Amino acid sequence: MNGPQDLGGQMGFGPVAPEKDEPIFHAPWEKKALALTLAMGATREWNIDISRHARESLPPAQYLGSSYYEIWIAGLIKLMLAKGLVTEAEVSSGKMAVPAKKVAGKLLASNVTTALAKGGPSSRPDTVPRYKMGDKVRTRNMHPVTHTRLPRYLRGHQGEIVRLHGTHVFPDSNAHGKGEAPQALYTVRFAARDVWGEARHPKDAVSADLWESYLEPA
Amino acid sequence: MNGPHDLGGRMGFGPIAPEKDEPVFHEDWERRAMALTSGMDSTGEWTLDMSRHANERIPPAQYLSMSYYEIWITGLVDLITTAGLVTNEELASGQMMASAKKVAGKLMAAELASVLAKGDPVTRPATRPPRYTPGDKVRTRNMHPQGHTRLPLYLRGHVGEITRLHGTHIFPDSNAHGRGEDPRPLYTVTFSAGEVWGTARHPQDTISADLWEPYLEPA
Repeated sequence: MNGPQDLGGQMGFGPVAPEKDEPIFHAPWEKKALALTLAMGATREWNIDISRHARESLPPAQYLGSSYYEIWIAGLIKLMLAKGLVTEAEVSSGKMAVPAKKVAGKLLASNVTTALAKGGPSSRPDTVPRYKMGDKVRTRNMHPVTHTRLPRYLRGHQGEIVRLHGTHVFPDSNAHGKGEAPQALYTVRFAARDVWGEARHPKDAVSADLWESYLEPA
Repeated sequence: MNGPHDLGGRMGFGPIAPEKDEPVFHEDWERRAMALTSGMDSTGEWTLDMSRHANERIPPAQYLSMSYYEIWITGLVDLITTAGLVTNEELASGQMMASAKKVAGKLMAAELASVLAKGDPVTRPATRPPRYTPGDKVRTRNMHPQGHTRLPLYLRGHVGEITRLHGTHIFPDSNAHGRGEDPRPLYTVTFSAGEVWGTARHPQDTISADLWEPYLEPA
């Protein structure tokens, strides 16, 4: 979706202000927000792409007015409400009011290190890729109302395949419970001038990891 | 600029909820906001395009949280501060503290009706013949200026057809930055919706926009 998360080329936010000695967490609740999000992910009630879509579909004014972990928590609450893991009344009272729903997975404190080290790989057995290194491709001019990893600023532009990453879960499908639908994932390189109309330096390039169905032969 | 005002194609705002018997103003202060903005425009300290740019420069999170007249007032505060018509201290206190700056124009209550009726035409005498005629195919430029532009993001890099010539008009991209009116031919350009969005509900759906000549290249 062309939501508030799709910031490439958007202006007016002012300069980025790097923070000296930036702490991992700015407040104790952020630590808890990270832990809660990981633990709830372990219930397997949703996948990473569903959770990304929960965040990007927050109302734009709210999204842009929220800090990183505020966005995480707002997305998590949406997911838990949608899956019946919590009720509106429980969220506002902070007290459990209905019996816990049975879930498929549980993250125990003793498993955290192993679970985090293992991660959630999205690579799948290889399929036959349509494109090879050096092929010229054009990104589709598509505007789905659903999740996509093709940013708006890279649509309808010509680029070159510079790397094949194998076959990966397709987020556009997986974010909507329509299955993993794995497909080839490529790094595509675009001349900055093609993307933005002009470039500071003629050799400036923008590279992005894009799934096969975002691409057409150019 | 690719700012928060450029909403074409953006999603996630939820459905539009039309208001039954919508009043012209929702609050008394909105009436005043409109009057103040019109009154201050008559000072001649800025142009219409400068005031639009002041509005679109509001930080995105703030802009998208604001009502229509909140945006107007915030933009006006930016303009009157920049023009030296008011100081931050005066804004905070609500009291005049420095002497009034002499301005070129003043809107008197008695003139209001005639001034509003007259409007502020942006047509100008032609300085050069228009480059395109109706029926010409053009491509909009893939441009991303930091400054003001009336070419929306969703219409950049697309092929359309000139469907009307409106004469010569002030060029907002120049006028918004104090670089003069630089009048240019203004056209209506019609695009097929499929060309703009990749797909269209109906193959004959089109989008038309009024675009200045410098936004266009021959296609």
